[in-house]
Order: sequence, then structure tokens, then C-alpha cells
Amino acid sequence: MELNYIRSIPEPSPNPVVKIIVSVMLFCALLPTAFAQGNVFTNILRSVTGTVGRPETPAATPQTAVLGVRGMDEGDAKASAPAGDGVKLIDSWAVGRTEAEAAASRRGLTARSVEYGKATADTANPQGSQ
Amino acid sequence: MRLRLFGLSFLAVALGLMSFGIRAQSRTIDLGSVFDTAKNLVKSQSVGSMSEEEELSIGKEVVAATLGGYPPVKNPALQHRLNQIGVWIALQSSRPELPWRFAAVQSPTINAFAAPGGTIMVTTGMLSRVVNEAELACVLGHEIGHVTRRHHIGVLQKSLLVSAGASALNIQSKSGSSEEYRKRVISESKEIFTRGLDRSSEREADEDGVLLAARAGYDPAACLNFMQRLASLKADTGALAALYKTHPTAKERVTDVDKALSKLKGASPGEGARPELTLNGTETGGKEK
Repeated sequence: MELNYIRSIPEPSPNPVVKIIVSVMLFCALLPTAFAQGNVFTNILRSVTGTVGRPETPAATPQTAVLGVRGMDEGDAKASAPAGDGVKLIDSWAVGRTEAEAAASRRGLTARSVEYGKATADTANPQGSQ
Repeated sequence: MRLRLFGLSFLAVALGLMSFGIRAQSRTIDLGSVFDTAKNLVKSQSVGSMSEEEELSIGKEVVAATLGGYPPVKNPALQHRLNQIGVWIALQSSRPELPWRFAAVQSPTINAFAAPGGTIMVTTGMLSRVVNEAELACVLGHEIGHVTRRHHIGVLQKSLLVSAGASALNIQSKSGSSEEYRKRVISESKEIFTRGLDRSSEREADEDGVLLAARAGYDPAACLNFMQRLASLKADTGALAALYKTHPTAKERVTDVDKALSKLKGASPGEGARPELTLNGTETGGKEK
């Protein structure tokens, strides 16, 4: 009788057990990525809750801007619209290797072979540093 | 270690996909979407897996979007000169063959942006703060470093891994086309570029700025001078707010640049050119205070 009662309960959609299993697996899968992005818990929570808790695509986070380049002010980002003409303008100002080298030469600039070695004990004390 | 993390990640997601595969017999599920997502997931595992063509394509979208908020300065002579300087520095990098583009954009904020594929944008606020060409070289070198190291692409692909995992486990998702994937890439990249990079990426870019300026014949100590001047400004001023949202503080960066200078081989701080900054035939750089 009790068994029949249990059977009469409609199956949740999707099965909560599967939800839990998937959540754990997803957590494991996302952990390295979240670590790599430096903000472990936010990224994991954003991913897991967006996947398991809701059937639709997760909504954009408050940080999501309409567009952006690293360091872009979010206000400017939200207010802007793509500017394809700007890309063409930028392309029109492009300079080739030969012209760049000639301009550098006129300014007295010469390329040097410079690399990084091991840090010295003394810190740099450049001329003119404040 | 990285390989192990990759292996564990893939195994976990694969197991997750399997559990849904079994369940798909009793429920409606788009297996095509699952496999597409898995494919994209594998594709997005390493920075090297994204072709230069894809990198350029993403970069163009980002540049177009950016210019909507930061219009380019419509002064061809200034832009031309900026490109001469920028390309000269980029030629000293590990990716001289990229189609490098440099643009001054209108904004009072002190900032510079790098888009994947080699387009660098510098605000008029930044241009007014550099006092000579050597300092500008440091700024451009920093941004060039982000491009050559594919910092944004790396974070983008990690972010795609997260979103691909989410998509794969969403049983309501429909078949994913390459267009949808492209849109997701663009969407993710926009968020990443607004959010900023991590501390180590910024340190690497600062080191690249010093190195490239030195290789291009400029005095690398100019990088330290510029950073010290930034550090002397109030952090809460509007002009610096966006910069500090995505970068370490100028004081931390002074330390990083100082360390970088001490490691240079082939050039010494104080040695090299500090030409007057002339854009559009007139002096453009700010006055050192």
C-alpha cells in the first residue's frame, strides 16, 4: 500500500538524483577552470546553478557588458554599439614594416638584442627615476 | 599537472555526458548538441588550438564593439604616426607578422586596450599622460605583450570550457551550430575583456613592455618613470578608475617594472632614446610634473 502511494507520486523532472550526480561531476570538471580564472567559487556557482537549477541558458551576470576590451569602463561598454566603420578607419591608418623601420631610423632608433636574464641582487636604479 | 587537470576535467564531463546519454532513452534530449558541445569542449582546451584566423576574427568583433564606446580620433596624421611607433615596437615582439593596428581613441580615462589579433587602442587620456615616445613605447609594449602571449584567448577558452560544460548538461538545449558557437565565443570574449586579466598576465605584460621598449632602442627606465607617475595620482580619480578595475595598482606595478629592469641583458636602465613625443607634427605628450 505504501509502495503504491510512492509510485503514484509523479517523477520530478529531471530526476533529483541525476541532478546531484551531474552537479558533483560538473563541479569536478569546472574546478580547474575556476581555479585558472582566479575566482573559484563565483565561477563554479555561476556555472552549476545556471546549468542544474534552470532549464534555460543562464542569464548574463551583472559584470557582463554589451561589449568590452580589457579595462573598458562598463558604463561606456553598455552605451556603445558596434562600429564597423571604425574598423575600416583603423585599417586605413595601418603602416607596414618598411615604413615603420624608416620612421624609427629617422628618430635615431636602432633595434637591440635584449633578453631577460636572472634578477640581480641590486634593483635597478635608472637615471631620472623619481 | 596541467595535463592531469585536463584529463580529470574531461573524464568528469564525459561521465556526466554518459549519465545523460542513458537518461536520453526515456526523456527528450538532443544528443547532437551534447556531442557538439563535447567537441567544442575538447577544442577549447588549449590556447594553441585556436587558429590565428579565428583569433583575428574575434579581435575584429571586439574592436568594432569597442569603437562604439570609444570612437577613434579622426586625425589621420596622428593615427599614422602612432602606427609608425606601434609597428616598430611590435616588430621587436615574437609575433611581428601579425597585422598590427594602433589607434588613438577618444576618452579622458587613462587606459589602453589590446584586442586579440593585434589591434591596440590608446585613449587620448593616456596619450596626454606620457611625456615622451619612450613612455608611450612602454604602454604599447605592455598591450603588445597581451596579444603575443594570447592572454585574452587563453582566458576565453577557459571560460568557454565552463559554458560548454553548462550547455552540455542542459537537457533542454537544442542542436548547437557553428554560428551559435561563434556567438558564444564573442559573448564570452566581451565579458572577459571587461572583467580583466589575472595578476600574473599583467605582470608578464609589464615585463614585455620593458623588454620591447628596450629592444626598440628606447630607454627602458621610461617604463618605471611612467608607472611612478601613475602611482602618484589619486587612485579614485575617474581617469584611473577603469584602469585600476582591471589592473594591479600602479604601486605594485612599479615593483614589477623595477624587477624587470634589473633582469635586462643587453640594455641598461638609463641607456636608450627618449625622443620627444610628436604626433601630428606637434608635441602631444603631457608635461611631466
